[in-house]
Amino acid sequence: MFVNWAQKEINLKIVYYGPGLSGKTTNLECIYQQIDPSLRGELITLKTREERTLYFDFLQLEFGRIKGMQPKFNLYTIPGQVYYAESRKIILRGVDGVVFVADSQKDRMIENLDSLLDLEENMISQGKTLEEFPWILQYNKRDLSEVYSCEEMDKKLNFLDVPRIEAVAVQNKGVVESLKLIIQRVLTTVQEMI
Amino acid sequence: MELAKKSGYQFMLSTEAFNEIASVLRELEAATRAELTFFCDANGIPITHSGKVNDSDLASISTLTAANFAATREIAKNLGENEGFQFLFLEGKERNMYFGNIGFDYLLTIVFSKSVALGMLRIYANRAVKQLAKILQQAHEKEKASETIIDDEFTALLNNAIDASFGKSH
Ligand SMILES: Nc1nc2c(ncn2[C@@H]2O[C@H](COP(=O)(O)OP(=O)(O)OP(=O)(O)O)[C@@H](O)[C@H]2O)c(=O)[nH]1
Ligand SMILES: [Mg+2]
Repeated sequence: MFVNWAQKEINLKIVYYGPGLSGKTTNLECIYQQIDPSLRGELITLKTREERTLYFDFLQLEFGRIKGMQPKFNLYTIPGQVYYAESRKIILRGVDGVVFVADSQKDRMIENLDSLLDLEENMISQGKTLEEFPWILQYNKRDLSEVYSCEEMDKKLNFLDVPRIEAVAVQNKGVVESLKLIIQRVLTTVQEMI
Repeated sequence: MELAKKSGYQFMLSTEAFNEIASVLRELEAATRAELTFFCDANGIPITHSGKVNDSDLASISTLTAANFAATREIAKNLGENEGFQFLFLEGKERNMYFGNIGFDYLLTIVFSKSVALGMLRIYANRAVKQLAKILQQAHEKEKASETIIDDEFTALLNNAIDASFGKSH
């Protein structure tokens, strides 16, 4: 969190994490399309020719003045492909909250777990732990047929019992809900910290 | 110099420090006839600028600048330059860009015309970086984190604003 008193701005950073192709970029695109255009900046995407995230996506949201202050939410996605480990570390710096976008397809569970482990390691190197940090799980791609039930997903991924949301990001389902939930978690944590 | 605390990174920049930073940037702009100078944190959050640019463009430029800087810092590390590169310089057709870091936590960027001598620009930029480092050092030492801005009322109001911004379907 960065507070600029002179400008009356509160900046918060939210990162969408998860394995390759789980739907992180789709989440940001969906938010970009749905939010009142006067409240958002441009959607920056740095991607490969194959439409995969190369470095990050970025979208800034504002919600007007609240008690005289202007909260700004800086949303980032990380590149999920294993190869881009260094980029993930950079994007995670100074993060205030994480939406972990998991792929519900059965054959993607190992990738989900690897990515979660990668997140945990990167958090630890920033002096944070997943136990104390505000994050939520999004079970995406619920529209596909070969998926685990949410209970099974919980057993495999939600060992810390964080809030989770079902989503079909390509149909705008669960995306705004996830955003609202992470913002809430982040604000609660900030409130306790100050 | 690593100013920000490692865990629970949060920083409140006082109005006093902000004004000092803004004045360094104005002086720098005047001395170098820069088109744009801006100052952001290592996460790309724009703090203040001097010159003409709209807010949305500034947010994009700052984010990309910071990401670019972070990437070059990692490259430097891989090459055994553990302190990172001192500055970056980009050359365009009409204008050039200079990026200097203040410790690992802040960045100063200057956009200037090709007609400005690089040597002169570097001298003024170096001075500005030193001044900014001092201001920030003091700001971090003096920071008081006690002011409560985010309370239950704030959260409730923000939630309403978010609901309104996405329409009623959610
Ligand atoms: N069926 C289905 N497809 C989805 C859903 N969400 C995303 N997709 C598709 O999955 C593919 C990958 O989505 P992206 O959002 O690019 O994935 P990503 O997580 O950003 O991937 P990386 O950038 O490589 O980390 C795209 O073809 C999306 O259209 C969903 O809920 N259901
Ligand atoms: Mg992506």
